Amino acid sequence: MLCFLAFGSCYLLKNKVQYFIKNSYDWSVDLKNENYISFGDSLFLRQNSEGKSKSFYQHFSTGVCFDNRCRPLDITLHWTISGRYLGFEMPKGEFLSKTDHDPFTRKEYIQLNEILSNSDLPFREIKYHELMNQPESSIESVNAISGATSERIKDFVIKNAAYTTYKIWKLVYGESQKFIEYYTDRHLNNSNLLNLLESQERKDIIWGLLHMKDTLSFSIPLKNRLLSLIQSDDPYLSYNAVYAIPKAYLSDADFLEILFLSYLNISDASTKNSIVRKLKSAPSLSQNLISKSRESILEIAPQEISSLLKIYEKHRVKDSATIGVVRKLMNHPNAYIVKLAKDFLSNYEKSLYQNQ
Amino acid sequence: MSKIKRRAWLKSIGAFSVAAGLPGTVYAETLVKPYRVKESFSETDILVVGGGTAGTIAAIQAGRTGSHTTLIESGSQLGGCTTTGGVSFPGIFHAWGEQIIGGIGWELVLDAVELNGDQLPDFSKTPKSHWKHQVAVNPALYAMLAEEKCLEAGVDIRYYESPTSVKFDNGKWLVESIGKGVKTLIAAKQLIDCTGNALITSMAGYKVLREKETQPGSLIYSMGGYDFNQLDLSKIPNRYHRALRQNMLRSKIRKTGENTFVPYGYVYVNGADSTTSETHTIANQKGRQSLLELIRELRELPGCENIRITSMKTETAVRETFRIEGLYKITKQDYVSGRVHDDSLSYSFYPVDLHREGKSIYQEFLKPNLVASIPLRALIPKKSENFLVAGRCLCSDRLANSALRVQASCMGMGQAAAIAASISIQEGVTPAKIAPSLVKKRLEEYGAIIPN
Repeated sequence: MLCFLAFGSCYLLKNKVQYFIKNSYDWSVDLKNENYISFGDSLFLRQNSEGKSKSFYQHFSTGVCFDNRCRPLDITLHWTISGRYLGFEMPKGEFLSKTDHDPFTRKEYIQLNEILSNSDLPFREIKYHELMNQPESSIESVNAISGATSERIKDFVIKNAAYTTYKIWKLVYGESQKFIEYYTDRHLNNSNLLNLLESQERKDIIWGLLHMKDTLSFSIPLKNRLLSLIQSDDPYLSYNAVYAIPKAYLSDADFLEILFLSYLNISDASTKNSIVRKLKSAPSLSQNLISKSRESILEIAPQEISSLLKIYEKHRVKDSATIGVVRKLMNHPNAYIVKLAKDFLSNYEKSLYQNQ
Repeated sequence: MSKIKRRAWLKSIGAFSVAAGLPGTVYAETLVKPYRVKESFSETDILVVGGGTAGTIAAIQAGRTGSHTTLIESGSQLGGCTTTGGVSFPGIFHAWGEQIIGGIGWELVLDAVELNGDQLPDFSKTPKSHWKHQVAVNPALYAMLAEEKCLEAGVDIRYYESPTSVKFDNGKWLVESIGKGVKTLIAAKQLIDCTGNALITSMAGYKVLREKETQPGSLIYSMGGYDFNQLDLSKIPNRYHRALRQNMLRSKIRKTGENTFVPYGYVYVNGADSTTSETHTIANQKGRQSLLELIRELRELPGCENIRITSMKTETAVRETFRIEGLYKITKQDYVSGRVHDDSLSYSFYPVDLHREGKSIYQEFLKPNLVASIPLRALIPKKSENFLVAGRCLCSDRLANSALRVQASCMGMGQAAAIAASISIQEGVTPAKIAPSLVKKRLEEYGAIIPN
């Protein structure tokens, strides 16, 4: 039984090492009803009976080498479809060991699982021979037993198992992960995108947002999920959700109205800025949205007024009600706003003259 | 056709073609009278001197309050260290997972990021290295956007000018400014010194302070002609590794990734001082000489034989010169303890970061969840009237200043100083006498984040 549980880790069967991260349940599959797609000999995509992609896994049979010797490493790694690390397991009887051949303790397996779930470790830039402090002349003959772990990495490796930690981390964040991301990106559809955006894990949501494409066909649940992310309390999710708005939604009057109302309610400047950019790039604005914006223009902050006038300019909003509200801005206590209103009205009058 | 004949024939064809295509006015040259320096007088509400990191934001904010605003900048573009100095990596706007500096500085950074097709990194995670939350911007875009925002706010920008006298007369500041072929007398209700060097404060007769030894400046450059990954570092002395490694980094599209190293190459310039033309000339010369020496040395190293300079900033960026003697001095203890005053108008977040003669850096980090703040009094020179400063010359001790000097903090100060100046005009009192609550309220209206 595969241990995809909502717990931090597990060690269920004697001599069978299995550790998975928290919230991995979302990505589990029912073993009785799952399908596989293989990529080469060792990388597999797990799908449920409906063909929905759930996770990837790969078996590695390799070696951890140091001190001119190699120790075999037999491990299976699991990822979500976004390439996020899910966990590892080893065949029955296999275990990880340290430089003095002592096996990993349960605490060290848990620590390793945490290390592997951190994609931001500096291992990406560190070369194998840099793991230990050593004299420059001994690069070809690394002695892990006598060498001290480099200061740069000592907080990110299992004590006395720097090479093993490094090796497995590099496998997790190596070519397979790149392939997984590439594959999912190429095969992204409404269903697995929604699955990612509804994940309990923030990283999956961000991945989904960063990979949204205009070419996808978008469903109502997806649109609703995107709007809820835009209104999220997490500024980074909110910012990226706005950034990810596909072109198709910019032609949806209802969507744009909610987007505008979100603009008025959101306080994060980055998100607000992105919303203005999206509203400007929409093909057109509905009368309803323009009417709502007019109602708010006298109440909002100077920079918001400036943004709104720019949106009007971009969409050539020149109806009499809007021009009337902008005329009221000529009495605004802030001279900067008066100047903006004056410029706006001047452009409006020029356009009238040109049309005559 | 012989060679000579052919050449003569081509020459005649060319001469005929050019003459045929020229309008008659080309030959309408006239002698002009000797140029006389154009003298003028202008009045403004708020005069900002220095269009660098703080001054640009101060000017935009001043203009947006509706105040008639004039900005004097001795160079040819806005942005200072961020553009001309090459530290196109402003920060820090976020601390402990939250945004702490917003407002106009952030708006400018955001616009530069978006127009460059970039996306912001995730600021919710506290990085291992503080500077990973600095935001890479395209300096050319930043300079243009800064100028556009100034113009949109009605700011009168005066490039290539520098004040030659500063006098307080009958409640107004009279500043004489000289530039290329122009001499202007500007009368201002409020004066904001954003030179970074407290030059205007000193010219106005207020006290300024300076350490015997100041931190080095940096001349920023980039190199090409080698592949860092192909170098055998074991054959290259350690002292060159940093220069070779940092240079290889580009300003990436900052989606979720973070830069691993500060993304620019630089040489230290000991004693760099940008206060006057003379001291800045020396700083630039010393920087260029150091860089030349470095390049010559690098080209002797294996794998670096074809190294060449691909870009170099025109000015040495400066870390430390003069500070004002203000109504309140921010101490290092204030800074690292995250002290918030009644008149704190902006946050500041950076480690105490003292570069010592280019040989080592003393750093002291703020403890979790602590963020320093900047009180209005630190921006007001003692005994001054209608006068403020913004930028690294604020009143602070040396260690606090080594943290306060960074760009986001300077932007926050610039915005705060401009709001204070505008309220002073409105209330008819000097900035020291305005109610901090009024300044805070107005700052919030303009998107600034107020310490609490």
